[in-house]
Amino acid sequence: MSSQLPNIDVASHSALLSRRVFLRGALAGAGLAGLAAISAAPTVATAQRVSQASSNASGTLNLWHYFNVDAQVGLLATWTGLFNQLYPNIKVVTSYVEFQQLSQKVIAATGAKQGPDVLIYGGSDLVQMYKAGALKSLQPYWDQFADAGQYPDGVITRFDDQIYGVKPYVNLVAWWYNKDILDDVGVTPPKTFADVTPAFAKVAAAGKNYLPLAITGRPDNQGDWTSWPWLTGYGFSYDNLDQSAAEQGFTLAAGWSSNGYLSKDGVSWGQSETFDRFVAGDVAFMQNGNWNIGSAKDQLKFNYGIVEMPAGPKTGNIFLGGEPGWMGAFTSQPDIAWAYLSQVFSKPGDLASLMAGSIPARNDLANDPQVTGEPLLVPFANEIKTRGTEYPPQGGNQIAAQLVVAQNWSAVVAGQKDGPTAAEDTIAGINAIKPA
Amino acid sequence: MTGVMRYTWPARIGAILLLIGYGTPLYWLVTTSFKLSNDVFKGLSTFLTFVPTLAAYQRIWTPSLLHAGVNSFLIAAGTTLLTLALGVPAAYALARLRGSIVSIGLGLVIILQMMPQTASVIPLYEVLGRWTLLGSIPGVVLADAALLLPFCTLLLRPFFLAIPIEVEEAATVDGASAWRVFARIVLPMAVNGTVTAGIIIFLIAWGEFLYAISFLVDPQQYPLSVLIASQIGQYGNNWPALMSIAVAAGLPILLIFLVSYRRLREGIALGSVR
Amino acid sequence: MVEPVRTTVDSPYPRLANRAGVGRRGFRLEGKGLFLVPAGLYLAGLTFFPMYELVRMSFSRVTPEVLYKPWPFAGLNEFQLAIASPDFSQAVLNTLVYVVVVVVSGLVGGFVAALILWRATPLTSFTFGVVVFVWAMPPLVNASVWRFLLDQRGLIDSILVLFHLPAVLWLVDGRLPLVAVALVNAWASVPFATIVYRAAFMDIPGELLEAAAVDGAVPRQIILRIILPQMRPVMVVLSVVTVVYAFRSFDFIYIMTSGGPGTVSTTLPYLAYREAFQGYQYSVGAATAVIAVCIVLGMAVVYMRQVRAEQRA
Repeated sequence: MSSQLPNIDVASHSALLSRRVFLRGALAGAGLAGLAAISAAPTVATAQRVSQASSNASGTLNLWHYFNVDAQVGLLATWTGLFNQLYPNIKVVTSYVEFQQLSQKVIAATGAKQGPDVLIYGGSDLVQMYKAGALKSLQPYWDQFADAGQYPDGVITRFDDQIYGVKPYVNLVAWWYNKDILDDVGVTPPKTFADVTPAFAKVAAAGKNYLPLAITGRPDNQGDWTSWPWLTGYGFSYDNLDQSAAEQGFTLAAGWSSNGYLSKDGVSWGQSETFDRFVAGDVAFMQNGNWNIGSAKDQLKFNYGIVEMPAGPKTGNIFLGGEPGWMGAFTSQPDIAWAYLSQVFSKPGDLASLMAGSIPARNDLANDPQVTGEPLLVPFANEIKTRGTEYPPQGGNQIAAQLVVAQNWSAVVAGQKDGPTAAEDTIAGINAIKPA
Repeated sequence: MTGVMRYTWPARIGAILLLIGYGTPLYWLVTTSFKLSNDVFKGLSTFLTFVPTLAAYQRIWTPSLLHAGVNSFLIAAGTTLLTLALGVPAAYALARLRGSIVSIGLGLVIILQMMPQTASVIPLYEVLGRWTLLGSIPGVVLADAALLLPFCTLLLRPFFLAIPIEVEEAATVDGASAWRVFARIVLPMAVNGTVTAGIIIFLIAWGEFLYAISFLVDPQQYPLSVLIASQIGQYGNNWPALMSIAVAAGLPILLIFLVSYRRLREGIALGSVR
Repeated sequence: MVEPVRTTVDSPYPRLANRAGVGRRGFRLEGKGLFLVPAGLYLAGLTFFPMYELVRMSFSRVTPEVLYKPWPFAGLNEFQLAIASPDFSQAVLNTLVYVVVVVVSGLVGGFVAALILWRATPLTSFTFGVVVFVWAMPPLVNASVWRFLLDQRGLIDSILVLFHLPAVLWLVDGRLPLVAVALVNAWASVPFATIVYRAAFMDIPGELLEAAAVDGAVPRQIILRIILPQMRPVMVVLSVVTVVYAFRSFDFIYIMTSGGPGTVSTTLPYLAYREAFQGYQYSVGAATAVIAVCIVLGMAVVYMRQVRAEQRA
């Protein structure tokens, strides 16, 4: 990793960052070989001009997001840098709003006919922002976008057949492990569901106070996101409310809870807290995402590795997360907003996603050495190809259904419900949901 | 006056128990601000034995922190002044008036406090938008004052009830108007309660988060409460940084309180009527 | 200085007795109504309006789709949905438990703490400073700290384990999470009651205490016979304020357990939040919130009656 610092004009005004901290964070967060190569890219004028706005245009661009980790904030700065190359007189103000509040703020702003110019948001409730009238269609711009074909359908969000959001990158979960513990106990990462519990048992039996599994159990969107591979591994899905599949999935987890293979305190953990727990160094396995790669290189003081999630009898699916870029419905300068977004979707902009440990979505980057060269990203990339499903799931009253699943997952992690009860309550709860 | 209460050993034990009950979490809070991230979750072993580092403080000590502190102060001070300006006369009125207006007023005040803050955001967004106060600190001040005014009124009423009516009657007989009686006679006697309520309101507004993050847009206007909240999130937590900002944010508060507390003790002798 | 509101028969200091609001004939009380106007107007625009919208929402069917369009009227439908929720009755019970814990702790604990810290010694002054500093922390900080302390590997359980006792899963097991969060909330709000009591203590007439000392009263008698009665108006208001505060308390649950595990620690405010902002059934959440308001309204009516009775005295 070269010590050459990125040559980017940091015009963004995040309250979290001073220039010194950003630069240090950007390097630390990326921690990938060849960062200098990535960050040097913006100085080459490959930024495409696809909007009608004059490069002399001046004003302010408001971008709302929920990124609070150094590496992600650095990603925003990269995009801003690309944008400011073409539009040096536009001040980009990136505004952090906590994840749980961001969609509320956007919806509230809609009432006052205000809102961001650009929004970076990937929560499971994004359709609600559309319903409230907070978003503007990207279709006219996308139709003119030369790189439109680079983005697979799975990362494009449409409402009423119009494109509203596109994910420049994908985030998903995989199976992290503490190599030192595994070597000590003589265990290899499990490949199928059948291998999982025996692996945990072996770790626990070693008598060294190792915690076999750190996993998220909070009864909100985090719970549903986490339980998905396990429930779908037996064939459950929102289109196929298979109670016996759900029962098998919940029973598997209930067994971990009753045997003490996971920490019941996980019921108050989001994925960030789960990672915090893993950092402590006495946990054998963790289900968590690629975005932790940067922090992992900083904070993990032990040898670790990542493999694909164990596969169930029906293999199972993994939600493809990530933040689409959106345009606010009340932007006073849609051309400028699109100019920013087009930089996000451009090749150098998309490649910069690696900085945050995310996997670029563009087809022409799938075989880029930057992407394939990072061993920690390989399992994630494979999972995308073989097991990824769209997030949030479409159709029906999904949010309410997701909450039902999340609550039951949480109850199972806490050891308060056994598999059959949780499955029964889940199916009943989902069926009881009235159509929106 | 307090010398009357002999300081018996139960009180001493009580003080120590209080100190343990409040001091231990505070100790954990402060020590965590001196830890590295991977020492935070390590259990009892790092309660006492860990390698202290200033990393978190170095990280947060940026102009943004001071800026946010100024924002917090502006919001808290503005809210306190506005709330007291409206609430003190209202509490006085509700203490002195007769008839159903008082009971209805009090009932309303209680009910209005039950309004969930999260549910107020959408209507207030519209209201503030109409007055072009969005994205500004005065807008947040207005929202916070609306939140705290019922509470302030309720809290201050007994302090006004406690002032003997004879004093006011005497002044009125002398020809003073209602306003003069209030401003010159009654108010000085309610200093104790007013300052107490003011401190409480200041502290609540200082820590207020939801309205700040909802109604402000430019991150340079964000107060400390938002800065604290931004240390934990979907993609990562930084507990030492969170605790260090909390400590940094708490120190000026402690200072203000200690200063006003001394004045409070002395001010009482002046305010009492024998 | 707090005067007793009502003349008590056995008070040795009748000249200090006062009946608030009643004076000699001719004492003008008009003009005081004007003092209410600024606050009244302000609240009308900024607090009453949102409340009105909330109630209107509870009688309509509101989702993000129609949020900024005319709301279709739904009569009592949303209330039926709210009550029919499998978590509703649990939430009501949970709320009552929560309120009892927080209110009792606040009223009693605050009084005891105020007594303990009344006399200024180095120990009490330092303790008071610590207590205030802790109270000044935003709920996010206090709740997060306690989430760590109550973790299986946190301080409390580590001490239990040290004494060979089983670790307690405070935020997980059975009904414990609700009580644990309520206790943390109580802990965080007792200082408020302490500060208020303290202010009231300072208003107790010195002569009362001195005379009692001269008569040779022991602290227990002083507390029960002189201080406590003087606290009546303060305690009434403190009860009202704390009950409302506990009834609408949301932050600690949100941060510590997210209403879980499952829905064990879900109270009415949290349920309303979940329905409105996680489930996007705005009107159902509004209905739940309005039900909570009505419960408090019942208590408010009791208070209002008492205020009227006092005025007639």
